[in-house]
Amino acid sequence: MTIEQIHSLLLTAWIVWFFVLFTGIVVWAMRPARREKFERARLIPLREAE
Amino acid sequence: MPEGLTTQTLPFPGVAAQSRAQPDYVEAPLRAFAIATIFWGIAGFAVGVLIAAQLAYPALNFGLEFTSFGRVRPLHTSAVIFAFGGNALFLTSLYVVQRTCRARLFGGEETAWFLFWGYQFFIVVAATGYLLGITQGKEYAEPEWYADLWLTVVWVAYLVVYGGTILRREEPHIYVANWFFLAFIITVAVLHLGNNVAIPVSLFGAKSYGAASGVQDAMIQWWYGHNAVGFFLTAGFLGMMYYFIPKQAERPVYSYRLSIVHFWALTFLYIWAGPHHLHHTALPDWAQTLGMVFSVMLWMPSWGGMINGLMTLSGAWDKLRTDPGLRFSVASLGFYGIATFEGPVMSIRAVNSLSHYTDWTIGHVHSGALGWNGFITFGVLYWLVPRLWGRTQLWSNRMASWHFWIATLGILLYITSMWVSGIMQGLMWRAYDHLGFLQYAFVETVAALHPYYVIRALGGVLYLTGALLMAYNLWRTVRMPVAEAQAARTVDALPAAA
Repeated sequence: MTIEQIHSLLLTAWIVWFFVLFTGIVVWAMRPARREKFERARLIPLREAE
Repeated sequence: MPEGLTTQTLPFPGVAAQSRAQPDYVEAPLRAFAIATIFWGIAGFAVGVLIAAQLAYPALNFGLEFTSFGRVRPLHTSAVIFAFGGNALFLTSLYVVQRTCRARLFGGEETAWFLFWGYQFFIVVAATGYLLGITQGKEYAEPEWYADLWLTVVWVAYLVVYGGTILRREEPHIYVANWFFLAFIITVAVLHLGNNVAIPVSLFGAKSYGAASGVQDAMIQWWYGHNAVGFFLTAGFLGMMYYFIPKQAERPVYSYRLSIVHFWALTFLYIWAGPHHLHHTALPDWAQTLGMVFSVMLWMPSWGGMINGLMTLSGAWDKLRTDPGLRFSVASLGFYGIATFEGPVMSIRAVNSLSHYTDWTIGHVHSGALGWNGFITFGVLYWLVPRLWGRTQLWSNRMASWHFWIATLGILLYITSMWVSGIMQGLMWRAYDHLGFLQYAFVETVAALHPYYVIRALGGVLYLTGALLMAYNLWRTVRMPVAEAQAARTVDALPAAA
């Protein structure tokens, strides 16, 4: 395998990797199990007075 | 809102403000950043009014090289983006990171003062250089190599202070506003280094030459330029939105899930949008198309974020009647929505062939800069300045309302006049007569723009006037004796009680 072939393979793999990574983030964020944790996280600014 | 210092329990389970002991937060340098934000804002707006007037009345160039449009224009853009916007970002990020992490700023007061004076020094060195004709000639990256090196030192210290505070946090979760601020700090560092690779001609001379040339240089420049918009003027200011709108509305952010998807979608997409600045140039077609497609996709996270901010107000919309600061923040989201809808449209190659190099682009930038960045900063200042000086109330809510309407009218005059002049300019440039000759000489297009340039300058005057009212109002607020502040508060509360 030449360096050009590896480069072109990596370019394609990079797109697939980003797609998988982003899909994974969305799935992670949407999991029902995280609902309670996010419910607490969004109150962080309001818990602190000035 | 100024009932602000919440002593009552908020209507959310487990939330009782002021119930815990607070760390010893660093505040004095933040007060300096607030003053610098207002100072550079007014300076930048005033220079903007000057160059707008120069375009309408060229005599105002005064025949001097130091005051000519070409030198003063980068002074305006750098003053409003890096001096006004930059100080606002330092102020809000260093305020928010301490409070959402429940930790004193890493490096303490001294390091924060270094950030303050180091950044102001950079601004002054860069700005005076422009007037003397020292520039790299790259839009938004005009400072020469020595100023760039100094900014790198300050910026690395900023990253260390910010990251260090996150590492020593007491709150287990890193609140979403910090993700946006951190993405802004890291990406701006990468962009700054990437676009400023240059070799100085001599050790003690100002002049340098960039390492890249030709179309590669152009692509690197617009990779930098568009992500300066994406991460300096968007991600950083979204960090403000995710903290200060919930604080002003006394409501938690509408959807935390949406904020996570918003963050990652914005980060994944923005970095590819730069080539839309180089449509119909020597840049390969595939790169132009890539930039266009990613710009159109950006519409989704942009509007997702805007909706998340607006929906935070559900159940609290009535606060808009009484709180001019919140009115600024909400209007800023409206302008953000307009600008991020218009941007993807203009990035389409066919539309761009009409809009590129015309005033339409200038109008687009200003609906984002004046409407989104300016207004959200004013909203934050009206909320934060009284609190940083131990006040709970503005000196005058009426004056803040006047600021709001004067500035809104100014923006509308600005963007509508630029839409008309930009589209007219684009159409005149491409008009042919029946023999196939260009219908208009260039100078005819310039003459046709004159009335719109006058209207634009008037819009700028209104925006500047509003900012002067804000400066006076905030000055009176922090000078107001605490007893008087209490009295003002009672008077303001009366109509509600009646």
